[in-house]
Amino acid sequence: MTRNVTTAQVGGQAAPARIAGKPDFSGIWEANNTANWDLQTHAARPMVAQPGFSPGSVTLAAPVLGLGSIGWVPPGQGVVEGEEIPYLPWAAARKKENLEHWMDRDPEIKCFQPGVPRAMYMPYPFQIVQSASKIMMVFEYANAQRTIHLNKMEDYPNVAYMGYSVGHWEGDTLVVDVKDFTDATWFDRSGNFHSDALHVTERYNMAGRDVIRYEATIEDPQVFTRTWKISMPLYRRLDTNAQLMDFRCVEMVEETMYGHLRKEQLVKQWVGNTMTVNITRTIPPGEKVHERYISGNPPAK
Amino acid sequence: MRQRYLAPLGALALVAVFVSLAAVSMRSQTKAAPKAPGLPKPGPAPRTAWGEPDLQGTWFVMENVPLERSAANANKEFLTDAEVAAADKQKADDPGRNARSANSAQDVNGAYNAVFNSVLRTSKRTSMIIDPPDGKIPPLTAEAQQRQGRGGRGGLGAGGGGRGNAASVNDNPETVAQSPRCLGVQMPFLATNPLFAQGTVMQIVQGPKSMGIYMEDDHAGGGNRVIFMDGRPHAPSTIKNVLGDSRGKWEGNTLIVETTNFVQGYRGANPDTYKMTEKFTRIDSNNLRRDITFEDPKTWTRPWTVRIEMGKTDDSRHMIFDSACHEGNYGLTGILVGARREEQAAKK
Repeated sequence: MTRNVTTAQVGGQAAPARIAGKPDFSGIWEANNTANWDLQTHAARPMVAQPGFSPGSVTLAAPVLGLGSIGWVPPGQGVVEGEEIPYLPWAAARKKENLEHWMDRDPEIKCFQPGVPRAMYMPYPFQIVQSASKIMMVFEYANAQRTIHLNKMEDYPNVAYMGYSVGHWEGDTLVVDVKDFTDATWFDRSGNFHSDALHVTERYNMAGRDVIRYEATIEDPQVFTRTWKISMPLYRRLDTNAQLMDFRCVEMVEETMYGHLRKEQLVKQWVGNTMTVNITRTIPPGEKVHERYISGNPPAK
Repeated sequence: MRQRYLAPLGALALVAVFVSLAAVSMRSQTKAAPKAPGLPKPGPAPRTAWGEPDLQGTWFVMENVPLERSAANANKEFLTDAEVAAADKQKADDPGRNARSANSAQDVNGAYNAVFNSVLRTSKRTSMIIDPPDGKIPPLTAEAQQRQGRGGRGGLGAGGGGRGNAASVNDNPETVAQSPRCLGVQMPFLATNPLFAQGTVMQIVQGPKSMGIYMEDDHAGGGNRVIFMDGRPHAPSTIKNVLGDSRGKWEGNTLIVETTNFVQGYRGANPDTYKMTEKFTRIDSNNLRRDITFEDPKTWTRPWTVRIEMGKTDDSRHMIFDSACHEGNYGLTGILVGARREEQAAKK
């Protein structure tokens, strides 16, 4: 059987460098930055903060107190071009509120599918499978998936957490239009969000054998005053026999999401050397018990 | 306050589950059902740009085949055309599908269930199992009989009991049946319950070094496998995945996929000795065959093999919808809230 795949000698191993004449993005990839914590430049800060001893200082608050240095968000340089995320006034207020209520609101904490572009820079590897007409990306986080259709497709008649991706080649650049999002996904753990009018345009370029130069242009006139752009490298996982493993978080978050609705509470108290943490689960009033996320759409007038 | 809000929710809890599941089910089935007239006449099996048989596409199980052969069909591998027609007529005449009662509200609530009755046509084949030739799962080994008799988890059904005595399945999320928990699809992904559209649709994307399979089941959510086809060995036995660890290789025009390293074996098999081997063959442009051999010397007295025939859909249509089962799972909250409400009412 002939294999019409261009091969390149790589570390003694033959690996196809192109698939059906186009750059080969297949493999296991992962970002290596702090964009999932905060798209913008940020100093280290507590994951959940309370006022500290000195005036103006902050320190770890109850939910993460026992974590010590692990409870602090790693600092990082921003990935937003020009640094500013151009929110409309209502949306700027919402972003601030989202950050203040991060543990209640971040869809990642609930193991929801992360959406795009967030899936691309979460701190988990993902795998690309590439054919001539489709590119499938499988993410270790939540076993999420997206398919980029390179062939002509009918419009998607629905919305999807991961959006609907249609791609084309501009020379050796893969350009992907992603639309049909829900209003439920976020960009990071800092409350940066969008509405269901989100339109993401991604550009993928091979920058060497083991690096993809990734760019995403964000357009959402319901939330932002103009389009804005993020960019970052994605690195090939060169670890021996790198492969995805299970991170099936739906089961992991059942205690967090439904523990307060058990017949008998499971977690009541945690006892350590210098602190005892008492946990009180409460059932929110009214229909709030069924609230699963805050819509990113503008409030109805 | 709490009691005021819980009262209506308790009554609605069960209905809410059916509504949320029904909405998903209707969408996927009406949009995804393959239209036979729209399909081109079958041509030769296509090949990829790099010369291998092309398995890519969105594939549906089109006909209802029982896993095991019934006693009524003993020694009979295929039904006649007349027997298929009679079975299909019986399904169409099922009086339960369009029943009316004096209580119209009850009928409307019950109608949500009607979307579950997505009846697939009867296949001529009388069992998915093609080997052993009697169409039955082979007998368990003595060890497996003992293991499964001691309460080993044999199936994939509802979890039973909870912590403590006299537990109800609705005491905890973990004890609620599997499907309202949206834990994702399970291997081997067979259409053993086509009424619930389970195990009926998969999307394959095929590259030269790896192949991705997206399996969708609206009640469980999705599941994504990646099959390495670059000759690397299986992951070490310390790595266990719910969907296993798959390695593929071509033998002629058939892709052989061996999957091991499962967290749990199919039908109570021992995950350390259990192996499933799939053979994917593109029969022609419209048809894909998936044969699966299940082996576990600690569980079955011999290997056994099922055959699944799948039909292709138009490449530009019939996309599988995102079921977002977990993200939209108001049902599990409703089940638990309803149970707590009933307990409060019983105390009065």
